[in-house]
Amino acid sequence: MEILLIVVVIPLLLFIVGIGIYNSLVQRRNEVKNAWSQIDVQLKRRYDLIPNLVETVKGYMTHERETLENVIKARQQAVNVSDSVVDRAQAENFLSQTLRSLFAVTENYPELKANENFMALQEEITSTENKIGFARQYYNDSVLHYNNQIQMFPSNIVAGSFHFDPAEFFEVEVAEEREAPKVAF
Amino acid sequence: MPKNVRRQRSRSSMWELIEQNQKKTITLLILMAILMMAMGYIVGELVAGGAGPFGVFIAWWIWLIQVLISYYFGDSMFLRIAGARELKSGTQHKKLINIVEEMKIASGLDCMPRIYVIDDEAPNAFATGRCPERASIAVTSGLLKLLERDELQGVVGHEIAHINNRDILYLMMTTSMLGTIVFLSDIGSSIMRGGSSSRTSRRDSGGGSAVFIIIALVLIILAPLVAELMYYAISRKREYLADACSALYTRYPDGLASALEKICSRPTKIKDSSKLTAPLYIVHPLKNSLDDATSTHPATRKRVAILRSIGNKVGLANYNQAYAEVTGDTRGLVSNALLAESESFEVAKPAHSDESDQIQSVPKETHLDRVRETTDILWELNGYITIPCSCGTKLKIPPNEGWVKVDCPSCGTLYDVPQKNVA
Repeated sequence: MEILLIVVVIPLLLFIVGIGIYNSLVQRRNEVKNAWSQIDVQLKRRYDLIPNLVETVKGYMTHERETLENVIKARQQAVNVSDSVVDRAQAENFLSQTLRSLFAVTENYPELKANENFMALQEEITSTENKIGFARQYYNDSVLHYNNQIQMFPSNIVAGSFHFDPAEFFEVEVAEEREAPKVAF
Repeated sequence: MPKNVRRQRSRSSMWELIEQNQKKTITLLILMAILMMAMGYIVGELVAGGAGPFGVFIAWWIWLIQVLISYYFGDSMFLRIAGARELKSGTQHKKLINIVEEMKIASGLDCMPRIYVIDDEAPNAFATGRCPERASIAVTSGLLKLLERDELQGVVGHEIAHINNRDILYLMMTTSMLGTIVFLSDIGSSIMRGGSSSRTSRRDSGGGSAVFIIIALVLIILAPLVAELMYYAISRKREYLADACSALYTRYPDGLASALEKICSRPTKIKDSSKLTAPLYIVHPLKNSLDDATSTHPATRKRVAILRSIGNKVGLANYNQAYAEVTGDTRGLVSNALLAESESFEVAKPAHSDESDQIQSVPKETHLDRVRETTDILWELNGYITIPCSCGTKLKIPPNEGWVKVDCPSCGTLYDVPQKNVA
């Protein structure tokens, strides 16, 4: 009779543990997707803020057409880029750079800096940049969390059987990002 | 899973930290619960022989009632006591709202906490809320005026860490346990001091009762003290861990460090704060810069030292090392299993929203330098002869006076005056 117990109870226990692992994997994979969409939310917010910024700034910075055009072009690129993590990361990094150049140039226009609209926009965009950064950070952390469980024993067995694929990190480093942007006076 | 399984070297994430934290606190809570049950048993036996188990039962009920009261009424009570105003979304305090949202994203919190502002010059902040879905953060107007963006971010990160780690819930349960233990101890001691008629009528074995009385006495005296120390220990560890989490969220521990320094250089007493609400604040509102071991907050000096000594790397291992160096507690704060997996992250550069970092700043000349430059030019224009002395002074000799040798007024060195050749 004990043998029957062992033959039934142990597989049953393993099954229950397996269910637990499977559910945990599902949770973490969904967390990764959720984290990715959070980045999207912030990126879209930035897209929406930029036309506003360009309008506010145009009137004051009549000699900085090139800088403004760079921002507009970069934004267009980022909106239209493909869905792969790597491409998007590159496009968004580039847009961040052009924005930084723009804000650096505004240092020369004290009237613009005092403009209330501009100050509010600057805080909004800076905060959005921070949020994008944090959203990326959180996305990477959730990817780590998920990939860990896929690779570690014994959950890797469950992960393999149900085709849980590893997620990619949002970690593209564009060479230009390492250099400080050059400001032309 | 066996503890010494060799895991792959991978970075730890915030969730592992939280899990570990909760496990540790549960251990301490279980110990306190055992102490509480022991007190219940003793009081039960003292009241009526054989009523020990019933005493335990009653102890749990006393605890549960306290927990429920603080659970349901705690938030609104604390916020009302502190006189907090809720911030409706709008343009006022947009920066604060943005910062809270940033930390919410970085920490992976599901819902935005409600934000309150307290009109008080004393800089301080606290978080309350029985679960992450119903969390609130309160900040004083004094704090908003005092701190830079990065520092405010560190403070908000610390509070959000409390929310994320469910510290408020645990402190609630711990406080209730402490309250119950003290309460039972009071009852126990008044029973023992009071009439013995009930005891003489007890039906218990002769040998057991003497031992029992001794144990009961010891526990009645010691339990409240032990429980209080445990409670303070839990509270302090939670503060350190919230600091560490804030550093992980912001990747910039210096922000929180300088915020703490600034806060402690001023009085932090908030009107209507009391011993009750103290543990929730980021810095103890009544006692500034403490060194006490019997306190809910670690000494601010130590917190700042740990944060600053993290240096360029931010991660559990660095925090742990810093903690060990500063406090001399070689066991550290974080378990070895967790450390084995954790890696360091690079500290981020501060995000200044007010000035751009890219433009090279001109080296600041002092006023004195410019004055000297100008007067030197004037001396030369008027035909004075300049002799630089080795002690740093510049000797200026008026023209056409016939000086041949001159000594420096500061150090006395003799110099030959270069004679102008008259053309």
